[in-house]
Amino acid sequence: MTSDLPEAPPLERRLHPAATAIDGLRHARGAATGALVVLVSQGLVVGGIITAGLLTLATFAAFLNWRTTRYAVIDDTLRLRTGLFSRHERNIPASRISALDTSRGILQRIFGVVAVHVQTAGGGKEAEISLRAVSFAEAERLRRELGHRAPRSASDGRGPDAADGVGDLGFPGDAGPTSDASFAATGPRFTNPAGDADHLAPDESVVYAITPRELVLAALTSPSVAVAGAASAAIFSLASDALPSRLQRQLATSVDELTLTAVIVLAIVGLLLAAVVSVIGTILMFGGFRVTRDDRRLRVRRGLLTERVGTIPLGRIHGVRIVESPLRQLLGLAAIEVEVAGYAGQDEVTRTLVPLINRDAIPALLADIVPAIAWPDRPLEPVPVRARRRYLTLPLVVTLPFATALLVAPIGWLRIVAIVPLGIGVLVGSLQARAAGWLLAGGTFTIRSRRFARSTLLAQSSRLQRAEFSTSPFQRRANLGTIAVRLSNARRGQIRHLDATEIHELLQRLGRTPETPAS
Amino acid sequence: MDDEPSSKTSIVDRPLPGDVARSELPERVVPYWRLASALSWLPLSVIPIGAAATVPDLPIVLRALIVAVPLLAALIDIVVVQPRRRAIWWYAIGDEQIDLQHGWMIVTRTVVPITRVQHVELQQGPLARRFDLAKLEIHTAAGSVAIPALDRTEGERIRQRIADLARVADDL
Repeated sequence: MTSDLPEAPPLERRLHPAATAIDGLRHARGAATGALVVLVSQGLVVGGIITAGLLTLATFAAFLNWRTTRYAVIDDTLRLRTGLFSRHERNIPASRISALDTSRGILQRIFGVVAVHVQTAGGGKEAEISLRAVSFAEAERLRRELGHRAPRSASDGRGPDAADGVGDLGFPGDAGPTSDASFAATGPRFTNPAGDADHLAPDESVVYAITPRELVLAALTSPSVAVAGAASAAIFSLASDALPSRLQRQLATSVDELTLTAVIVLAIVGLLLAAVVSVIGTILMFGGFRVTRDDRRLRVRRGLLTERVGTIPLGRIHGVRIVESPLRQLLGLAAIEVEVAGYAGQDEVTRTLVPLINRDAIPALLADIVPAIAWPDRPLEPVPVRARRRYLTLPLVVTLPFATALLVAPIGWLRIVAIVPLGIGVLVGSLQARAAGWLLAGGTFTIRSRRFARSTLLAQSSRLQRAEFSTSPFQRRANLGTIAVRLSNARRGQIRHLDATEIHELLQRLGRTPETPAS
Repeated sequence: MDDEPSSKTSIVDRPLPGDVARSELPERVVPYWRLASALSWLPLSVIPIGAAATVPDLPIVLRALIVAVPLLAALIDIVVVQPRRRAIWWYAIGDEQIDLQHGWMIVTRTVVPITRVQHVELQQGPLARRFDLAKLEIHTAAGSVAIPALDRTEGERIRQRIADLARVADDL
């Protein structure tokens, strides 16, 4: 079936043969539950035959996929051809590649290969192609072929960035065959990418490396843990206070006491379990987190089991976002995310530049990574005084139904608690009003706002993709408005209830080219 | 407000394109939108009318309502809403920025620096072609903005102009 394929030109290559095994195992993993059901319901013999048949099919499909997938770099363009019957060909010019990321899951580690993810500007589903198994040497070659035309002149990190999107693979230590002595598990030629600071390229320096303490703190203070912890604490206190006395008496007629206790215990155990899972998940996700830089690129590696190395050209970082969840803010901690134009598939994890850092250390870190972004040298401009009460409206509208529900509740003491949701609403609203602020100085537009977490966007004002000024009828009556700016597709920075005249003046200054950068 | 004394004053003195030269959508868009709206209301009114005529044992009031409500909604949409849609729109394309505003309750003004434009797209459906209108979509690395209906030649001219202006800077 494959013999009638046209002879591949010498430039075209297939993936590493391990792709067959990796894909096959992926298919098998997807079908595992189905196979289990078949095994249980059909008995070992019939089920075993069906399972074996499925496994064979999966392997064969993976093999065909490997046979028919070819890629090549021709004229600075990455060409990928796939498909057995309907051929699919994609061509991606090197200049359109915004990042060349690599990752290694467990399967890739077993076979000593890497997966290469090609990110292109523009976003959307077609924005990324993945070569799921290539050898280190081949990945290195791809990087060279797709990135070698990058101008080396841009040594200040702000140079022309049309062509330098593609970075080194960034597995520290994979540059030379001499440094592989200590890690036998990961392949014959290359060291464990989790290697230490001594595996750096000559012009590379570590900007941030997560410490065990920070990793644990990041895991413990991650929002999902906080939610699960708060919920289980609430249930526990409700159970210990209310249940033995009033509520239990009322419920006693319909619900068996034992069942109720069991449900509460189960709920608490479940939530604690969720918290533990989330802690472990965070540790696996951010373990070994390290950011290094050379003169043109940042390299971000993260992950314990599946490790991923992303490359971000320094010239493409047009803004950073500092996120402080309430708990972290109390502890003086924050996370930093990058805003990169045209970087597809930006989920929270790939955006993360620093999972956890002391707030005081941020200005120095940013000055090192993105000197074009000026840290605010004075307090931010707050929202006008007449706008402050407007921040209370939305939280109160949201919490009012809860308060009403408690007021009409059949249980007497719950009516007193009805004040609590309203109090929370006022608290959230006034915290939001206090967090809101902006500053345009040194070519940097700083915009700070809060939903629950406080989020500060520092954007190069000349790099803004779009600015929006919108007003509702209520805002128009008070000469107020909302300004929103975008650096990337994924998210925007927004501040509500600013003076409309002020916003209009801001619009005139944002996005203009000749803003003089801070000296 | 008192930073960058050298560059700031000059920049603030420069008005946004929409402050000096606002263009409205061509008057033809109203009949175009009316026709499009009428076509989209057609199935929405025919189905209930058919139902009201065929289903037996309906109170006469209900029968009348079933017929009247969609027709009235269509009438309001065609007579009142569509002309308003044109009135709430303006756009202005300057040398440095694209500036446009739309919205009825929430009025949104969008400013896109021309250097950030990645590509411009002119779209024309069969109905729009009859009216010689086209939709202009302006794509940046952070999504796109659109002018819903333009004179075809005007759209062509703007597309060319933006393409020329945007070519100055070739990065994201």
